[in-house]
Amino acid sequence: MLVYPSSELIFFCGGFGCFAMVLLRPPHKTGLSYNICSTFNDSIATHMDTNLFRKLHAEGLISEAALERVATAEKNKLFSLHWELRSILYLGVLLVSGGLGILVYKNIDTIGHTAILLFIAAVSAAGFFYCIKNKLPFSTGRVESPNSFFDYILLLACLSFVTFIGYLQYQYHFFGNRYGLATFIPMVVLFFTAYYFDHLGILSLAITSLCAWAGITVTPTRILQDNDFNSNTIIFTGLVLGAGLIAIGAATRIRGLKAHFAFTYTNFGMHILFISLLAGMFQFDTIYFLWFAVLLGAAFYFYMEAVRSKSFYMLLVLTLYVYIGLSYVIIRLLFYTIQADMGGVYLTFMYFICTAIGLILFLIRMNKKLKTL
Amino acid sequence: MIAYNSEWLGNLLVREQADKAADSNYISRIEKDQVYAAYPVQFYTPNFFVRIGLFILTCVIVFFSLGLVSLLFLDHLDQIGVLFVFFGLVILGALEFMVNKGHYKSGVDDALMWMGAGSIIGGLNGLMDISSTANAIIIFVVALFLFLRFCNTIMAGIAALAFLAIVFLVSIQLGSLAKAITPFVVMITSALVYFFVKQQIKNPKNKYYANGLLMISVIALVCFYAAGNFYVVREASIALLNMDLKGGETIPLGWLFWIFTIIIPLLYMARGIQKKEAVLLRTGLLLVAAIVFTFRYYYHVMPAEVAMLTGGIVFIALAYALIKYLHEPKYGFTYRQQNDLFFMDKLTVESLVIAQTFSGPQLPTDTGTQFGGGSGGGGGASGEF
Repeated sequence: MLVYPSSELIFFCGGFGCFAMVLLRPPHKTGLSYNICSTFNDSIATHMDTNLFRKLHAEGLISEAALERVATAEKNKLFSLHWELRSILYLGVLLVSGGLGILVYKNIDTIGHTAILLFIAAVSAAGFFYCIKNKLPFSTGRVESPNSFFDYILLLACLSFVTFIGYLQYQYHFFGNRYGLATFIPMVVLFFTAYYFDHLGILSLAITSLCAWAGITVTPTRILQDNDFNSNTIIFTGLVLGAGLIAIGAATRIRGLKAHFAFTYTNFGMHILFISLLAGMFQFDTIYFLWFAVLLGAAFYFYMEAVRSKSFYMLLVLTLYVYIGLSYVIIRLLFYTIQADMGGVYLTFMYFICTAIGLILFLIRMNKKLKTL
Repeated sequence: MIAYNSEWLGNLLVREQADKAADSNYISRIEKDQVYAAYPVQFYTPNFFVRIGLFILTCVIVFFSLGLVSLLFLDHLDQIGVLFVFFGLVILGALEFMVNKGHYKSGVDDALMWMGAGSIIGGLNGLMDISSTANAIIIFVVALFLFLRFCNTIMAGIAALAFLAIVFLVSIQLGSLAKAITPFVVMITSALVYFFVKQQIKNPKNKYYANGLLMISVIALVCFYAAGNFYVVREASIALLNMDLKGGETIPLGWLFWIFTIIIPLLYMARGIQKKEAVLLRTGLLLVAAIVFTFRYYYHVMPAEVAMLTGGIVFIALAYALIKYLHEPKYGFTYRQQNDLFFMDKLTVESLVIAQTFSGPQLPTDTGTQFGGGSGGGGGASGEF
């Protein structure tokens, strides 16, 4: 029941990258961290203290009109049930789809695979039809979605398309043993959809399936079936893929073709590249120093990028990856190269303490630098 | 009592209020800047990601320092607990020092607080054989101290849990009568904690503890329910009180606990709606799931998939009807989000959920049983919660 055994690593990067991507949003105002914090905080967070604003007005900091606005807003404050209703809706959808899934699973013999396939195809087609009907005109910049349901419907259409292809291959071996083709088609469709309708979520899906396709393509069928895969190939694929994604990200930004997609590309590329480099360092341990040098080179590139785009997130990521690489080099030098014994253990501990202090100072300094840029 | 500079903490609250008002355009950007200038905050609070980095690195430093010192005491490993407790106190000292230097939510203070608490509690446990009651007391004392001194929200929650654990553990050790009334003792204590905290939250003196107190009130509500929940009471009676119950047997006063199980979340929600309190409403909403699970654990009225389908359809219909109904505000309720600013960033959050739930096209290998499943998880409709 394994899914792409050879590309688990890449999947992992993808998932991690996506997670990190969301975290990049400024934490105080937007994004996941806000949502989590605000879950139980609303009653306090949305409350404005009229007395405080009266005091601010008395101190001459805000105008009479502003005070009036705050007081009126506070008096007529509405209680938002947005979060609650959305949760109920989400739970309902989850329950229905889960219940339907089990129902179909138990009655597959009477329903038949063809009927299910047709149903999935119909859902997908209907979704795409709706989106094409309602979309705003294409532009190379950012395009807003016409209404709040649009993005969900597009997502549903894409996911059911992917499911359709997967089902087709699983049940009828539609593509035979050409697994590459079975991943290539969804990938192309996803990329096209992401650009055509301007959907960041689908772009992430598309990049993930690009990774899957690359992982499949470099892996001969025999190896896939034996569930034993050649990690060297995977590492080099990861390197090429990571570098490629970074290049696409840079090109996207410079050429201005959907420039807001650039970060998603760069982020995926960064994690894949760094993880591949670290994996390469551990795998080819006779020339590990060479890999470390490349790692430092990549880190330098991202350092420049971080400063250019004022990205604290990129800074943190590159610091941690370099730290892992450096620690590997030091420990290897101590215990393989000079065969240190107990003294080496002490030195290792001291190394970690000193470097961590050094990195803290580095991060604090960079924090200041990026803020003043 | 609070380690952080209280003037800056107060100014921070003022700034937050100004932010809120400026986000909704009640006050202008210039006015906000004026407020910022009049209420200075000198805390060292770096960017969120730098905070994560500082947290990890501080943990590395503390961990390896502890390791280094432990290496020196390799011959006295049986006394290692003393070292841990001592080290924990040193860490807390370092925490005071860093806070004094102005660190506030910088990652360094977070890491030192958790490492210090962990080291002390772990050390005491390594030092001697501690009963679970004593352990609960130790955790309570440490967490309460850290909450009061550093206003940490999670520490507040831990302290509340530890306190209720003490009540529970003491109660079940007090003879057969005490055992029988343990659920009620815990329920009453939770209720008292809840009302105490509700009162404290209103006190302006406690404004820096607001988030922590809110956390305690949630914990108290959940524990109040748990203590009266049929499943919890029955299984705890079997496991902890050595009550000998067979498969279908019920507990004394079983009917009463069934009433509690079903009625409490509904009461929470009703009260939440009535008082417009998000905490009550949301806790009640979450606990509805507990009603369903408890009930289905003992009574299999219909197959799971039918239950899921009917439940799901009811939920969707209910949510849809309410969303339509509240499109225009009614009775002070609205479906509109508090701040539409967040709407713009919704998509980015969703892309995370999407890619995590569905990692690309899934292509099973040839082997394995041929069965019709595989497309079970189709629900990706709304990724926002």
